Amino acid sequence: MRENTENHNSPPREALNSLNTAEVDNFSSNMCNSSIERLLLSNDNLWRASEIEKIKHNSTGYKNLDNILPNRGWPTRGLIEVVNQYDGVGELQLLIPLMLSVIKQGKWILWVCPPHTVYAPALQQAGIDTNQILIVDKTISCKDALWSIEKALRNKSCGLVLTWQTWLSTKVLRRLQLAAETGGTLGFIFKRRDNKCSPSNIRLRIKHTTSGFHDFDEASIALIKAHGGTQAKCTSIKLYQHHLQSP
Amino acid sequence: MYSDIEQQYFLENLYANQRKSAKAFPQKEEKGRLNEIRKTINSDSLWYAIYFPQFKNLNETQKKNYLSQLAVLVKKISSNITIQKQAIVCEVRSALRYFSGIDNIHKIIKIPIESKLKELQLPQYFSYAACPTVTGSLLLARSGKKTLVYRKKNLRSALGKLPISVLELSRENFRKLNNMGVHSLKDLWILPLSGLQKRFGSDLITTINKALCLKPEPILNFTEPPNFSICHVLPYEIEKISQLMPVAEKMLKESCQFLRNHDLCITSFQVLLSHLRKTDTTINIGMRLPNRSMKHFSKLLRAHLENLRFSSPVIAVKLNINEFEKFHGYSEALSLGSDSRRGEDNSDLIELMEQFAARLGKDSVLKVRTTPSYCPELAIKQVRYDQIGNLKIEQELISSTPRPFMLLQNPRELTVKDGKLYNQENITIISGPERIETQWWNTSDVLRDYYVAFERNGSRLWIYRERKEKKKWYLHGYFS
Repeated sequence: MRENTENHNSPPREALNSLNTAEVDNFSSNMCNSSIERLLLSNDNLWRASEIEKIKHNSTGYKNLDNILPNRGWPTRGLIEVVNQYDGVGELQLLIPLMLSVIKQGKWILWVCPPHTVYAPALQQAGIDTNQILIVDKTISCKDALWSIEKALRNKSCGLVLTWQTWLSTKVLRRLQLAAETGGTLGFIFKRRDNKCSPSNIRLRIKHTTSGFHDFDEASIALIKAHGGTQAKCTSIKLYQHHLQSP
Repeated sequence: MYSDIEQQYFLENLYANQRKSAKAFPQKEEKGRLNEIRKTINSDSLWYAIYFPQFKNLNETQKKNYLSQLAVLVKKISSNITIQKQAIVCEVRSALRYFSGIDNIHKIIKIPIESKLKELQLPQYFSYAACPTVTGSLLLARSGKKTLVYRKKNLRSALGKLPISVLELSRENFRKLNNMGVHSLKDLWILPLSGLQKRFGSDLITTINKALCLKPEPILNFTEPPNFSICHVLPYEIEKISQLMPVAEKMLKESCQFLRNHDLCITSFQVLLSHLRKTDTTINIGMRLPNRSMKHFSKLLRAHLENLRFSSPVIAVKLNINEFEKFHGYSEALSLGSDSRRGEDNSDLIELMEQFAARLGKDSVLKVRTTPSYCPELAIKQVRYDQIGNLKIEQELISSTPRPFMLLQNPRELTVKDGKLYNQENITIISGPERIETQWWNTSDVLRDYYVAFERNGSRLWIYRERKEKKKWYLHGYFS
């Protein structure tokens, strides 16, 4: 239940309704401001859009992507949903710079239920140390998978949790997001379809744009929703710059 | 009991004898030594040795294990027990009055020792002897003569009758002594000590001196290995984990208190859930690193219990700890730089992995490794998280041609329609081929041409064509 209160001078309707009627009668801008202030401070579920800048952000490693993300980068904690309708559209390539920085911090990357075998030679080509990678096999049940994602997100030595899930309810997503925020961990969920009422920090869609030889390494990224951002944006980035060269 | 004067007399006599043979003893030094010896001899004890000749051919660890099991039985009669080579020696002077005589003491321990030996499937005999010194009683017991020497002054004559084989000398030394005409210990008494020391080393002299109570005998007291086992009978039957956890946590708390008191930690524990008219449910919980944190134990137990389906209600809970380890505390580093926190982070992660292993099973938590192989599916190995330590990446192993992030466990066959490749949609090849020929020494030899391709829907694929038999096309990986 987060309310965007971008304009401080005009108080949101909910806030006004909950004010004491006596206070509303003696309406003066000063008093109103102070009571709103009080209300904002007393309720943990209310926050201001301006506060989001306090959370640290890291560059994604792709200039075009940085430009469309609020605060120019991935947040350091929270939940990010990546919608990729098909396998192999560059969803992991997108995260290579992030994975490298996580490994460099000495933290671990946990892969929960990857759809296929995680191929270590490719990780090494990208410069990712496989010693700090842990995989939870896809043979486990969905309930166990969610349990392990939540545990990992709460753990402080896990820097990044990558998981592949078909559909998750809003309630589950909210729970995972809270876990990520308490643990200071970043979680990525790769999904086939978008969930419109998801509480995740960022939702983006990645797909391959064209089918030509020249733009083989190009992928388009659409920002569906981001905390602190105002409108949906779209950009294209060049992937595979780290190891795969197009002819 | 004898008085100080008697003791002095005994000692002086003893030294007078020695002086007869070893005349080179300087007078001053001797007086100093005499005072020193008197100090140690004041302790008045009777050591009872139980010697097991059948242990001779066992290996060291087995011997140690059996002896400590037997020593527990001897705890009944004495609190001062020491484990020697193939033997248990205990102090019984203080218990003589309580058990009214050494014969009774022997009767008390004979039956349990024999039954224990039977349990261990060893011959059921042992020899025993008692005298005022540990080494002396050991020598007497080794000879097989069931001798009892109450007083120190009788030690010399009692030990003198023993053959030199009881000293368990090396073959060479034994032969030398035999050649010298020394067949029993009394032959040694008349030889000059300094000469003996020169020829046979100080070990022999030390043994003799200790046996005759001329030198102090430092001993290592046997302490019983710790053992923790508690059982809690529930006042009512329990079916739910939520009801079981408070009871289990109480028991874990007790166990942690025990570990703290004994300065120990554990790597595994066992919880038994008893059911009415059904076999017990056993939960074995292991840890990667020794631990004694109550919070960690209860987390692990909860993860195990959540996976469990009870066949019938639980009526009792048992907690057993069998193996202990010494607790090694560590000091946390000052967090000055970012590097100093790395170690701390890791212990946090190990805890997480253990929780995963407890709930998901050890085989579900994996690490990936590369192995030097040209065959793509053999170049990767998935191993259990706890099986190997860190490995260094060898630069030569990294292939120069692109490899996909995701590899299909079983390559998927692609269809060819009108000379075009299809997976879900049309496939276009953009680079290749990379020829891989390997494993020809095996039945499943690999003859493939690999290509990088993309599907119309945007997937970047790693595909290959077999170069044998039907020359089929396969999808092997996704460049995710």
